Amino acid sequence: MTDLDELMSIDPLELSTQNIDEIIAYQRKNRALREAGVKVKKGDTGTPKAKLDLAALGLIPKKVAGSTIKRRI
Amino acid sequence: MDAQANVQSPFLQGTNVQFAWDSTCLGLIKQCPRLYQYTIIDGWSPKDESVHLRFGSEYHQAIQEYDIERANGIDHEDAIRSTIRALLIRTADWQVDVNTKAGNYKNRSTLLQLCVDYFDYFKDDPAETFILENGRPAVELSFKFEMDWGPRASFINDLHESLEEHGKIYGQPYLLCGHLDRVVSFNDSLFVLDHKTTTSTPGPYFFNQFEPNNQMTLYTLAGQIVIDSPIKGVIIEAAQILLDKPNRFIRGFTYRTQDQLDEWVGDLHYTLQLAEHYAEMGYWPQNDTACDKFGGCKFREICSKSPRVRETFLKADFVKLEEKDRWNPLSPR
Repeated sequence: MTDLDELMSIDPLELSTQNIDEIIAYQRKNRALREAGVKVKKGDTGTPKAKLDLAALGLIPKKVAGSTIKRRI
Repeated sequence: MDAQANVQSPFLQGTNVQFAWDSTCLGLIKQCPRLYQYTIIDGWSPKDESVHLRFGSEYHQAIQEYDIERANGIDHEDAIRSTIRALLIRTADWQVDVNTKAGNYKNRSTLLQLCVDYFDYFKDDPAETFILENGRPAVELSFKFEMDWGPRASFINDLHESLEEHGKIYGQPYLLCGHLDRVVSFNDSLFVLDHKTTTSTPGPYFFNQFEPNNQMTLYTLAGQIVIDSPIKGVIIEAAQILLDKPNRFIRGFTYRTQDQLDEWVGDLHYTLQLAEHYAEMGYWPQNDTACDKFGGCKFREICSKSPRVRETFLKADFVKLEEKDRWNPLSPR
């Protein structure tokens, strides 16, 4: 398991600012390695072990329909 | 999901006559009436299509959030931090089979990499987000405007009702709907900016497909109406997803003159009249010259079978979406 896998396995709601910075730093490091021609581990979905019900947590915003523009062309 | 279930149908009640159109539906009916029927009328969807839709939707939303933060004066690092946090929370339940081609390129991990790469690449973006009169940045603008004509069926039905009940004639006009990713000022001109993701190289062949192009012409037209200012065209911002090399970002420009916009609206009369005719006949013919376009139609294998057995193959290779889950131009994003 890589450092990124460990970070990604944390419940996203529990991630500290430092954790987020580490995840971003990891992506930047990956990019630098790719630019240097080094193959990096691929195929990791980064799916956390913790299961979340986003709807129950109220984290899925309700969609609102837009209004019709009464301008004819 | 409840909000989606309450969205108005884009069809006249009790018919397959569509009155609300977006670039997706228009593109399908123009490309092949049978493709339109399978996708929009019948709701058949490839089993792995949800991967592409989810990836595209999350990528768009992340960029939208980042652009809004930056337009509001938030610094690059803070904007990335809050956008990535929101992305991780939203995609916490997203599981993809990485053993499929779609899943190998489009999963939570590649999405995260693509977003961070994008934000860093466009940190000092020369294209500035246009600020609307209400002070809000012109990001993820939904549009819905009426045309000055509608389906004949609507006017005929309403004529009877109106004369009897209201004493006036009014029918359902056609609606053009959609979402503009962003409107930007670039070199003192206004453009709509549209994000695309691709796994192929976005070279001249890729950008040539947008000129002429139904979606880009509609977006230029819609941009002019929403912003109420001249829009020169669309900047297509292509993100190439790569697994072993750094992701690539390339911008291409496509311009539209007012004459071209007028011609597109004129042609739309004929397209929609044909669409209504197909709906009235309950028959959407194949355009068998389009099967190999755009990398090959997703229904090519189905259409190559004898008509008697097509339904069987559709059921094996596709899923029939419930009506509330089907593509609907009136669905809010």
